[in-house]
Amino acid sequence: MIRTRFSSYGCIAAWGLVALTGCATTPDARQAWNAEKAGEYALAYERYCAAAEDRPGNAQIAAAIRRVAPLAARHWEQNAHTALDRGESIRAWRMFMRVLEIQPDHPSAAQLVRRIERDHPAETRLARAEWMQSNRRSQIASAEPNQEANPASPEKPRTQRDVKPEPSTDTSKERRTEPPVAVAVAPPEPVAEPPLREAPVMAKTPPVQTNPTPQPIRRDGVRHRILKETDHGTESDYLARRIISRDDDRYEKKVYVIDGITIKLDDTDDDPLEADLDVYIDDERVAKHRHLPVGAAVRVVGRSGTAYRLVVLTIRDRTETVIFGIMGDAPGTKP
Amino acid sequence: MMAVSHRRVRTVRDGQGIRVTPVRDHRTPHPASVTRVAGACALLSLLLGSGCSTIEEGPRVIFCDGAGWSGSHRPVSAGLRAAGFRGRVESFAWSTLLGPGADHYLVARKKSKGEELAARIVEIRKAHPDASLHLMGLSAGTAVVVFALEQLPDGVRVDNVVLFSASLSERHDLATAMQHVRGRLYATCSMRDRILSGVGVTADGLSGRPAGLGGLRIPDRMRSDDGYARVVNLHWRPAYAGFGWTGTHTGVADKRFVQHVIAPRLLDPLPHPLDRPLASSRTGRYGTLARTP
Repeated sequence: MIRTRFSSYGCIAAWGLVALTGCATTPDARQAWNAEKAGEYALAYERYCAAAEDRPGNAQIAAAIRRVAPLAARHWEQNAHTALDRGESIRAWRMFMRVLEIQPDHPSAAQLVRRIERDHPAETRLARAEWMQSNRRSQIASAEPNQEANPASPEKPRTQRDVKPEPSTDTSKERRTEPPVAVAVAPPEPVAEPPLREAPVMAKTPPVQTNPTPQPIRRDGVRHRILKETDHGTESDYLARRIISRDDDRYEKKVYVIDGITIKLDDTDDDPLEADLDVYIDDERVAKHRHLPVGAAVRVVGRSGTAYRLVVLTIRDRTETVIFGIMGDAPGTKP
Repeated sequence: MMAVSHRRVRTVRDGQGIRVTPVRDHRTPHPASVTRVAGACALLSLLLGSGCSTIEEGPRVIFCDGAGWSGSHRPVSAGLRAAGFRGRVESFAWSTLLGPGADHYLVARKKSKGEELAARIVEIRKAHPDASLHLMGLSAGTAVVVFALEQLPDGVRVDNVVLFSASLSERHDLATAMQHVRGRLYATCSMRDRILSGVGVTADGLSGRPAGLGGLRIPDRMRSDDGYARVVNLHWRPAYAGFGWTGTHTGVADKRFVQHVIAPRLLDPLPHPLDRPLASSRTGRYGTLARTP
């Protein structure tokens, strides 16, 4: 009898404790915890931030962010120095900016960003313009409450929710250069690799050379290239990220991206989740891309003849909103 | 009736007979000490009357707390000091003491207090023209800060301005105020701010959404050089939960947020690389989101 009473008291106390501190067991928090255990601090930081977006007042998540942030910042700082040593100034600039986003009072990152901007003014001007344009929207969007998915958080694409970080057995510092922050959508059934569906104008350019990835067959018989995580690149590979929407007043349905390229959202579908995008070069429509699921990539050639890869990152049918990123034609390379 | 003397005497017997000497009463002050106290009081009253015009040299922050709220000065001050700020953080009292409602809605009161704050700024600038001086405000206190800036005489400028959870209108014309800011104006904002979500009229008496929700916006009629290139909205991000600001109204004044996010922007004379001023977007003027709809 006494034992039963004590156990019931214990349950009540545990319930009260959880109610007070807030239960941190969201999918994002679980992924973050796994990533932290695996030593993937940059990824853990991203996931904890995603968890904080859903539960900003959760003390456990806030403490976890504080715990992981210096380690994540160190990760990006080391990679930035490596990129700087290799002469990849713009890449280093982006990574130092990431360091500052994580740790705004970092002792040296601000000076290094300014030094890169001073030494490479022409190169960094474009990168900064792109960064400012994309982050202006993303910051506003990240502040919106009660979003089922935050389309514009600079730290994370939402579709990463389903990606479980792989625990790494290699504990060396150089085991990887960047955390897997890109989107990957695993196909349910492997089939033969279909050719890229080419847009009318895009047919002049060669298809994107990526590793063969098994793709699902769509109900209308059209197959799309869904990039593997490795093909999808990392966050720093994106030259720009944009949000376009038909129903969300904060965003326009047609947005300029880069090199004369403008993307217009034509429509989204719920089942299956996919988007229809139109590509414009200097106000002239040059391609229609229909039934693009999350993770789909299409090749786009800019006004200067430079090839880019447009990747669909998130689709939200309720508000007819799409987030896409644009990167160089191959991950890790800049046009 | 015979007068009774209360003066105490002492009889002393010596070789010459009995002598009566007065005994000093310790309850009555010594004439010399009376003079000293009177002199000190006169000096003190002179200092108070002249306003104690010795303004300490060095960096200075003037903080205006929110409506009916005075709990943010201490964490803001602690955050600045933790970040290495070695100056005075003084609180400018402007509340009516009638509660947050009166403080928020009485615009004339805030304007008159803004005038007082402007006079204080002029006084500080007159004493130390080159010392760094920053203004900070929380909630309705941001209106006092902006009103003070607008009433400053020509040539008097402060270094930086921080508006925490500003309850003034997002459409407030900052052109005049920015003429009196050397550096930048930062405005923190969060759509999770439930207090500002329920505010019907902004603290400056204008229509529109409070700037602490979606950030400051540029009125359409403004020219691009009206100072908005130095206005920066600091939108809440999930990462800020790690710095103690979870998007709430007064949580923005958390010590850690001030220490790690605000203070680096004030202590470094160069613009912070993460700053995104409103008037610097690719679209030439301001960018679509910054423009008033």
